[in-house]
Amino acid sequence: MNWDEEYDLIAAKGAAANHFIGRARNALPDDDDFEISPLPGPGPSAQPAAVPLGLLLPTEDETPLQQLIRHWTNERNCPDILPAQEELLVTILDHIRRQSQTVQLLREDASTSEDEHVRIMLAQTEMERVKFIVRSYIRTRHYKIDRYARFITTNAELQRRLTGGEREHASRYANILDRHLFKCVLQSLPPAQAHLDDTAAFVPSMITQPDKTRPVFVHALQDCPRVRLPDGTALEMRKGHISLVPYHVIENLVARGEVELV
Amino acid sequence: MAARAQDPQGAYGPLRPPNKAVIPIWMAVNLKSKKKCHIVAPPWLNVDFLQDRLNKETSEAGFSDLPFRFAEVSKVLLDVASDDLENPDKLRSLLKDLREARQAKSRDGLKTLDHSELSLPNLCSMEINEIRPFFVHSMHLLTQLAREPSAAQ
Repeated sequence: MNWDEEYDLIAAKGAAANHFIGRARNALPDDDDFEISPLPGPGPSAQPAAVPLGLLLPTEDETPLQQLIRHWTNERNCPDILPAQEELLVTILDHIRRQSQTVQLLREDASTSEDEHVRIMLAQTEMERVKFIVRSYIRTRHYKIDRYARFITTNAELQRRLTGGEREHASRYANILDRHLFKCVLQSLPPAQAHLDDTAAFVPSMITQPDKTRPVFVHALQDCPRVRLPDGTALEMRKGHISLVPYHVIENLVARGEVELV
Repeated sequence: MAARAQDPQGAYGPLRPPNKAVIPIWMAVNLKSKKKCHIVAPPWLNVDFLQDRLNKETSEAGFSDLPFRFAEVSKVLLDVASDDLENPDKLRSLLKDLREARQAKSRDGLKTLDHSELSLPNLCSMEINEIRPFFVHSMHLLTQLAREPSAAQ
């Protein structure tokens, strides 16, 4: 499962249309903020000489990086698998890619000043931070996908929340696991007991699925409509409210982005 | 360079020596450790403000209103930039008192835990992580206990 491949695929697919808009919106600032000594000598002079310290410009009120951080903490705290943020990741990875190219260019240039090096170092630190979050986000998803692989292959709703690559990984993983279990144990059992999806009474299902009754800490980002609690009462969360509730209660609020999991 | 320890992302700077700039805390810490900036403390990180919150914390039942990540931010700033803060030792002891007072309250919250909901207004990120494993597990058990009678009917 290689995110890089997927990235290339998506980049190629959507290069023309909305991807371009995202690219334009997040284009490097034509920065006059920093006095950058112009790069003398050869080299592609069309390349932006500045190392913009701001990795990502604000869109409306949240930068793509802030959005990613929010999706990342949500994903980490959520017992279920949340919808994949493919477009956001493409935007961010795209940006990192271009920025690391710029940094590479500047590093190779011997005439880069001392001041410049400090800035390069800061830009690199920031890239590492972003990469860490991207990696952790993807790994969190993969952990859950591995865990619920068999459930995912039977659930169309959940499949819609995954990227193409993730779906493929889930079905391959479920397949391999099934074969492994069959070879090791099941083939020597009587056929009646050799299933992996028995639904016996009073026994939990053999297919692991996300447990939505698990409680989560939830933080309201805005005033939320009432939700029904398991004991029958209603809960109305005001902005900034923090609460510990079972996940299924606030599932819709998370999907609409009205609350975040902390 | 001078820098303020505040949050937002986006393009930072300009970083010109006598001016203040708003940059993320990781960058401020990085520059500070290279002795390239002074950090201006956030408005809540001073003796008066914290003393006031501590008084409230000990006299009122609820959690007092503090920034969501006050524990993390104050720890980092006190570690890296204690020379930019006024009276860091007093700050440390105030923060410790605050933490203990709040910890006692969050443990008290366990008494009111049931299977459906527990409101924790003004709880901070560090405190949530502190109680998360135990509270989530207890509540989950309560959920299972509450579900069983209705399933048996």
